[in-house]
Amino acid sequence: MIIAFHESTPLVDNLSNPLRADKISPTRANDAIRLPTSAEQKKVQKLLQQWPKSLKLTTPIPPNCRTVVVKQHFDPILNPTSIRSFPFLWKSVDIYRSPLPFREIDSLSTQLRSDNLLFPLHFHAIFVGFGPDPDQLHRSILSEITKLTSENSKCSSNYTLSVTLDLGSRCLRSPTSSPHSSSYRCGSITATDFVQNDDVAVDERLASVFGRKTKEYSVAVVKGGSERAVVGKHRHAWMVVDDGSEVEAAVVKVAELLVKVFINGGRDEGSIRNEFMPVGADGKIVLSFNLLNADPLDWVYDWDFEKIDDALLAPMIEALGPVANISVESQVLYHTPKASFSYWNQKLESYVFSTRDLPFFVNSNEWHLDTSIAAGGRSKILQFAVYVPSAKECPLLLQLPNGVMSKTNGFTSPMWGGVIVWNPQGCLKDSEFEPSAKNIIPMQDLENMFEVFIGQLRQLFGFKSANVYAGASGDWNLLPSERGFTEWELEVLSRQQACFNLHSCATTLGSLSRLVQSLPRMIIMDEIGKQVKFSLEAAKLALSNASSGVYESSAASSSQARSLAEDAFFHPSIMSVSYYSFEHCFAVYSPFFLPVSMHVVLAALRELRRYKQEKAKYLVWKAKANTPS
Amino acid sequence: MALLRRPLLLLLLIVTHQFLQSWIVFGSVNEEGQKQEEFYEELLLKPLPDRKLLTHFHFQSSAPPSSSNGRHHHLFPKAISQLVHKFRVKEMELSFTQGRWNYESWGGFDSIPSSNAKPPGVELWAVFDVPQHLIDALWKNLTHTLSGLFCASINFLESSTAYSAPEWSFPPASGNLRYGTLPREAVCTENLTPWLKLLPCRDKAGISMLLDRPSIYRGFYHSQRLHLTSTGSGSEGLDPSIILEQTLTVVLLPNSQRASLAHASEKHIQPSWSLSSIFGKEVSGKCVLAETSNVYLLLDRGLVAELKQLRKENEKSAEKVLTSENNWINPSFELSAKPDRIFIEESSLLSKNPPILYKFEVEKYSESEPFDLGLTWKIPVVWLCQQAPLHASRFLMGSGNERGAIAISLKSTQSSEGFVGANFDDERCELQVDVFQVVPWYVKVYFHSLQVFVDQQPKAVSDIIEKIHVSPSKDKVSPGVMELVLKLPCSVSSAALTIEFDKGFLHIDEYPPDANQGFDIPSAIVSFPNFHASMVFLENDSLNKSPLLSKFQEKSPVMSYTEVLLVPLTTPDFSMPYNVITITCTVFALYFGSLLNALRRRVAEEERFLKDKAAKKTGRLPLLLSKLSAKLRGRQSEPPHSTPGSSSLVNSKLVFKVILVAGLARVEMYADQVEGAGKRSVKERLNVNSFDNSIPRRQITGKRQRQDEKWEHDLYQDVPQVSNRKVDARDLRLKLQKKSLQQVSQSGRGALSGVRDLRDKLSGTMNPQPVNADPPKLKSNAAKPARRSVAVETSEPEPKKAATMTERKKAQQKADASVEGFLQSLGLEKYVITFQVEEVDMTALVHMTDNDLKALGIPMGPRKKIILALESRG
Repeated sequence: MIIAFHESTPLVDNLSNPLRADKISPTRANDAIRLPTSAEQKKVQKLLQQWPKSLKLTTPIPPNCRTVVVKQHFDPILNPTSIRSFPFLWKSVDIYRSPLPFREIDSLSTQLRSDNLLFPLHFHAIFVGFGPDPDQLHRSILSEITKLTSENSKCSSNYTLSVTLDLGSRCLRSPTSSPHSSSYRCGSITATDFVQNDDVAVDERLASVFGRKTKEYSVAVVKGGSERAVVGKHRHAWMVVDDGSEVEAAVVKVAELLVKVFINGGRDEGSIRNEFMPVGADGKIVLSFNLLNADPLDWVYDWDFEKIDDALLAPMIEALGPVANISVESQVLYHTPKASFSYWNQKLESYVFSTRDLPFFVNSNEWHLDTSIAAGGRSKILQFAVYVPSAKECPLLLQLPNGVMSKTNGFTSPMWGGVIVWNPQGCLKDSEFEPSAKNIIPMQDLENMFEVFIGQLRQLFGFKSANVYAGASGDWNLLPSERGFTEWELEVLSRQQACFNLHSCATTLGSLSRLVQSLPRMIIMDEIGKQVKFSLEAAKLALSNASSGVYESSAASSSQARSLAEDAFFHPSIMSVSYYSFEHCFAVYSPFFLPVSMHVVLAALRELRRYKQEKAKYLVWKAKANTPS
Repeated sequence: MALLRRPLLLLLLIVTHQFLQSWIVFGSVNEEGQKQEEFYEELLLKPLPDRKLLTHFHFQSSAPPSSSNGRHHHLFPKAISQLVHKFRVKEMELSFTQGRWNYESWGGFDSIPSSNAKPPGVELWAVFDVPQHLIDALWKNLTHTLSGLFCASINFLESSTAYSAPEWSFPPASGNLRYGTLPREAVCTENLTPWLKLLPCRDKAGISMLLDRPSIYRGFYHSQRLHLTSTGSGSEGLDPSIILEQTLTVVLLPNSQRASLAHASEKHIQPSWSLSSIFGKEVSGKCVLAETSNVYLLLDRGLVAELKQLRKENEKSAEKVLTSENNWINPSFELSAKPDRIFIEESSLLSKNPPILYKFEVEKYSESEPFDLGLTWKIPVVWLCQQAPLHASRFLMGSGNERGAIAISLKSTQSSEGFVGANFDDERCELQVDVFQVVPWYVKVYFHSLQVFVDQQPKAVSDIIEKIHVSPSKDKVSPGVMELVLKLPCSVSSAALTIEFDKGFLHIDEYPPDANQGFDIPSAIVSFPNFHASMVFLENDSLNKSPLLSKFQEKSPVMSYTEVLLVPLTTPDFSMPYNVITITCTVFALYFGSLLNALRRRVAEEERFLKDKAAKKTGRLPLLLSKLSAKLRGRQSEPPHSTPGSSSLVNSKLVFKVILVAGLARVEMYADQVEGAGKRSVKERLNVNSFDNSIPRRQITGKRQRQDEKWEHDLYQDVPQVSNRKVDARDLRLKLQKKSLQQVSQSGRGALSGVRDLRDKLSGTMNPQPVNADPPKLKSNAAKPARRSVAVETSEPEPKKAATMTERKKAQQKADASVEGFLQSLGLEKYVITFQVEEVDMTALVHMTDNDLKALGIPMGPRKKIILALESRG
């Protein structure tokens, strides 16, 4: 605290105004005007000499001046030097706050809130062997689509539809055809392509026809053949209908495909799972695989994880690259019993663990599924555990709520991971089995296990693990990809990721700006300002990419925006909010200002009293003066 | 023929040799051509001379070089591997210790104390495999990670004031080493649980089942250590292999219930113990994941010698019995389990009594037949453990919160075999001692004040210290580090190093919550690089090598840690800032208030007003009252009679000065009076002369000094110096005595005269003397403040009484002074006080006889002098 006291700078004024003295008080008027004695004059001069040198007397003291009135001037607040020192004082108690772009943050969040993030999608419906009016079909499909789409989702898509009627030799196109769809050469798809029963071959055939580069979703509706509907691994689907079927039924089914599968990824809309992606704030996922030997005294199992990692996991991780940066770890743990009990089922000759008890399966006391050191602070860790039951509870089966045994013998926990129970061969057939020898899980079993794990990961991302989409107007077969996720699924994920990240970035930045504005005495480092700036830039880039339909880069830059926003929000310097409470201020300043204000108040009161007295006197005098005259 | 057969034989030899070699190489490799991760568990038990038992758990996990280290693991803890991988750790050791290793009775030469005796609290050091400029950042991240991993406040080692970089005195000497300790860290189960988590079997099976928390933490010493080394950084993209060594060393006192039950003659028998009695648990088989699982019982050199000695007394053929196969039941002690093997230390076979190691394989035992090793002593045994060549201890010297000194004292342990390994030159036998000391920055060490004493004789530093490396501390940046290599003669019996320091001041927020407890100086490390603790126990099967025994075989330099020192620093009153604020603000407010008062006042008007009043009421009481109120209001006695033109008063500076001087004078006067009165009254009460009175004071002042001397006496035992100091002290005492006398004698006079002077200068309401002396001068002096003259005029009637009083006082004073002067002229000023106490003035003195003086307690010589002088005066 700087308290600057300024020397009172006395000013000598009115030296040349001899009458001023008379005006000071009415009582003075009664006194005889008295000339100053020589001694007094000397004294005045001496006093004046003692005053600071800076003080300049504008006029010399007249030798015959009658009264000298010296007025002292004490005004620290209005004093020019003190005014000049105020900025310095202000600066010294100022707190460094890097300017944050509050307005841009607000505009980002309002932009995201008001007009939904629109992803442009191009649909292309090809009808082979159907009636002659593409515009009619176009209209009917669009009306079906608008029936199905709901407006409550955060991110919707801005779709365009083009319809082509393939008449073999010539095309009839709807007027609003995108450049992509016009590149389709009619006659390249014929009903004979779909005769064969091999869906994968058909899929490849269609992929070669549509080209892998195009960003549009195509549906081919072919008349003639056994009825079936398949969604391929790429961005297309096909439907074979009977010769006699109506076009309306096909239109409804196509519209449902476009909305439910290609836009929403075949998931139930509005479920919580869709909102949350199991991706860390820094856009990373660590898949931690654990092999849990419940009791190594019975048997010890090991696995050859490296092989599985290369064979099964690596392609999937590469495929998920645009959505998240995934790394894989594994470990084998021992002495890890489950937390809850199972009961013996005589009919199945195995121990059964019911779904009701599943929350108690994971034994967090004994299962040391560590958080990974290699992972960064805000990475998401998904735990996958293979549970090898001990001899006491082997074989162990999981029972679904409807009483049926689980086929995969595993379960998932959203945002946490999944567990598979694997029963070793030894306990199934009571063969002689040397205990406590080190065994290796057979490769075949391991592969099955990891297929289940990939299914579980798909579930964690919100997809169905089943290969059939059961819509209201009929089922669609979904062709599974060897990479775990098909192309259109990955695009759904990218869109969802971009949407989720942008919203989360906007909310984080919004709360940061609210926090910063609510705490005016909080220090804000330059680094935070930079992070906020870069985050906003990345968010803008993600928005522009999204609107131009580049989902992958949109997802990447949106995750960057989110991680930067989180970095800014969780910056360590923000945590140490400078504690400068009002109470503290009070404790520091009140010892000074209380006594001073007391003086000021007393002086003011005294002045007031005097003024009243003087006024009363003056009135009396005036009355007196008036009455004689 | 013979010539022809020789090359064939040679060829055969070469072929078989190569085959053998390749066979050996592939022997440790499994079918897939990849080495596996391995885990070993071992326990060493060793009876200690002071009825205690050392238990040393040793677990070792190793990960072979592989491309997937840090990602995929089967036995090795993933967390540790990731740690090594992420922070590029080459070697690291972390220890949590509670209690202090008792080097004197538990030994200091073995492999166990030299690598497992650790300073209390947390010690962490790490060697990094990165360029110099990256090390500090890695260290900081490592401390954070470890603190999360082990639930300890290791993250306090992050700050650069908490760790240091020893150059060469710390044994794994390397430029990339960082070393830090937290002496105050409390160790508990929270730290043990994560440590156990790193073991594949945790404490569920195997030897680690014995780790019963209550019995471990009841021990006298326990140190939980984690050491990891990563070797051979991969050439073909392979990660280095990692060896993780986890040890837990516990010193326990077995329950000696039997000794108390038995009669008194058996009290000297060492307490018998078994695993179940000390841990409350038994080992039910090995951890299935461990390659080996062994328990060892070690009888050290001294004990073996003692046992042999005892046996010799009993029977002649003692030599073979102790080491023969069937010796586990012998007359001196009995083991409850049959050892699987008995090892005799190899390297010291030459000496008479090699240590003996009994090996028990846990593998053979199961849940139905648990392993419970017990040892029952039959006869009392007394022996000593092998000591390090010098016993190091460290202590603080000096008192007070300003400065002090650290002393490291090394005392020879007089062990007969101790200096075997020393450099024996022909005439000069030298003992090399490395000392490594870290001091926190607030202990500001003066390195020039380093002193060396050998056999209690001060020695030139350059004679003893061969090599020194010092990095001085920087305030709030880095601690001070001192590394020394001492070369002491082999015949040394004691040596000491002292170094002085000043205690620094910390910023208010650098104090820990319990600031009054003091601050710790971490242990100094004293190592003897020429002495190596190693024990070689040869095993016949090289395939199944025990890591504990191979650890014993390593040549590790003998090391010992000194005590942790507790330095009290000045702890501030934490409410002081507010007190200071309040005081300064009060002063400022007073200043401001008086200024405001002075500015606001219309002097001329008030003068007139008062004059009017005075004209009306000339009574004395209201006058006094008005004056008093004026004083209270403005601290300016405004007299009613004012001379015109008194505007000069408005000069606030002058007013303020006057007030200040008056205030100070009053305070001074008051203080002097009190002081003088106080002294005199004390003396009267005690009725003793000034000699006695000065002694306690000397004690107070000399306390600090004497404490300083204390250790010097220990080191020097130098009588003349002490006596010198005594003379000095007496000088000081004399001085003090004189001073006090002078003070006392002057106090009365000085204070009074001071008062007079001040009154002279000031308004003079009490002392009319100068006014009376020359009133005309006052009148002529117009420049003088008018108020003063007024005061003189107005207070004319009042001060007469005061004047008479003061005059009377003054007369008495004069007489006293003359007694004093008289005595001073005789050189007997020390008796002045005696006369003053008895209120003897000059007139009384003249009438005093020899007997009177005797009654005053004045000795013969001075008495005669006084009487003679009086006679000559009279």
